[in-house]
Amino acid sequence: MKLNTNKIFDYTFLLIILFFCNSCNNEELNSLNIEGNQNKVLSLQEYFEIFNADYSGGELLIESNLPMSLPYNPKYINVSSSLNDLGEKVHFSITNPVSNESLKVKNSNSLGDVFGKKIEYNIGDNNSSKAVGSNEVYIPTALNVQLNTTELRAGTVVTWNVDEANANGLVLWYEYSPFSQDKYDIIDKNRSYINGGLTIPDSGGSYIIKASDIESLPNNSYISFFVSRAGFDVSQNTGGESIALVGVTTVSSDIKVVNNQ
Amino acid sequence: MKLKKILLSGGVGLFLLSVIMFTLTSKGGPGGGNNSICSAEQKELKDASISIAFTTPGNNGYPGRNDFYEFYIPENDIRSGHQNPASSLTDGSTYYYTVKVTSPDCASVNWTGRATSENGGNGNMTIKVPKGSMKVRIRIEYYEPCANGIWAPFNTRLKYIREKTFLSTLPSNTTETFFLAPQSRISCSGSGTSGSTGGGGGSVGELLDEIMQ
Repeated sequence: MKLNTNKIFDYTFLLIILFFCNSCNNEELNSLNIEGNQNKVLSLQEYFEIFNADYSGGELLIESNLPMSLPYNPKYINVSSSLNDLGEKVHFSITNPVSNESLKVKNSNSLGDVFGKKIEYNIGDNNSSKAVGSNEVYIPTALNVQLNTTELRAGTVVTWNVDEANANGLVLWYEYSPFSQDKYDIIDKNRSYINGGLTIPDSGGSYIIKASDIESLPNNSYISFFVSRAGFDVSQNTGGESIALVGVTTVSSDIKVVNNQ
Repeated sequence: MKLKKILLSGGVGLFLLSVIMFTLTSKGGPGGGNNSICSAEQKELKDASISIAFTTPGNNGYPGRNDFYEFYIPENDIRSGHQNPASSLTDGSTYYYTVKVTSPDCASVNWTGRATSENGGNGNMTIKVPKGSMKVRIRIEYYEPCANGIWAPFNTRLKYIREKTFLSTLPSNTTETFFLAPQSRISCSGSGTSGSTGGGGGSVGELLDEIMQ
């Protein structure tokens, strides 16, 4: 049941770099609605440094991933990372920004306190209880997202709770899967995954979907629609290995696309 | 170093943007073509075992249920004794689910499996994951049978999703359990009887089998 890899999208960091290197004149890139982060464009070299960073020292991913249909929970977490893996190489010590107490990293619900807060974390090698570094990172407030229509179409208004402290912007993105469709014709004509989206500034609190935002999606298909924002920091342990701490909040919805063209 | 940290911290949005831009250009058959950055060793897959189960619902039960059915799970389902999943969403008489495995570290890791009576029909499924140590993202999409109006509005079904990122690949000798999170109630408008056919005369299940080749 292995999929043909040529039919699947890529998430590899280096590929992103290669894409940027090779797509300066790409019309599709130029047609994107890139309304945010224009003042934060990094050079290709800087991109290279980011995406080729070696996180061999360890990585902690604190993730909140909730469906739009469920009630907003600002402290909900779904720690996606297998923290046991992290524990083999490094330990994080995070101070709860609310109670000022030390957070237990492993499967701790209190990690939900980090959303919407600047957190300090210490890094230590596992063979030493002594902290070897200390850093700060801002983790954006957990997203609360609503749509004003039951179908995604041009004119649909996406609203969210603004986090003015989030300088990284908001990402709106989608995925079409042929395995999530209920009509033969749609699957037959669209046999590959389709992904896309845009970023916007984390301000204003609403965005109106444009026809061009969803033009690549089959009419009447079901898609997964995501809204995300994140905070991110990279440090080094005593061995010179890079360590990453990432906090991500995502809200998603499965929704039919009405894309009459 | 300070500058680098600032750039790194500020760059996550741009990272996400770049992922989106990359994938957008990949619409309709991404390919991207640059799978060569993954070594042959990284592309190798191995078997791993997963187990899928329903979450215990909160006080309000599962979303979208009719009154008095808030905690009801319609049969057929992955619980013991119901091991015949649908081959596509066009069959609304029974459940249907897929498992997708990707890796942020290697574009070539892209595997989708669909539950069958032989693999996954009881909630236990053998999937493919990378052999080597790398991040793995697993996404499960599960659909209940279409409702007949008794436990939920007629001709609708509840979709569940569980998505999880692992910092290293799953071991082969243990079973990772995924608890399904109710996502949304969707229409069964396109669902018919088992083995619905399309314009080409083949069933949707056969078409999906062809896509998975």
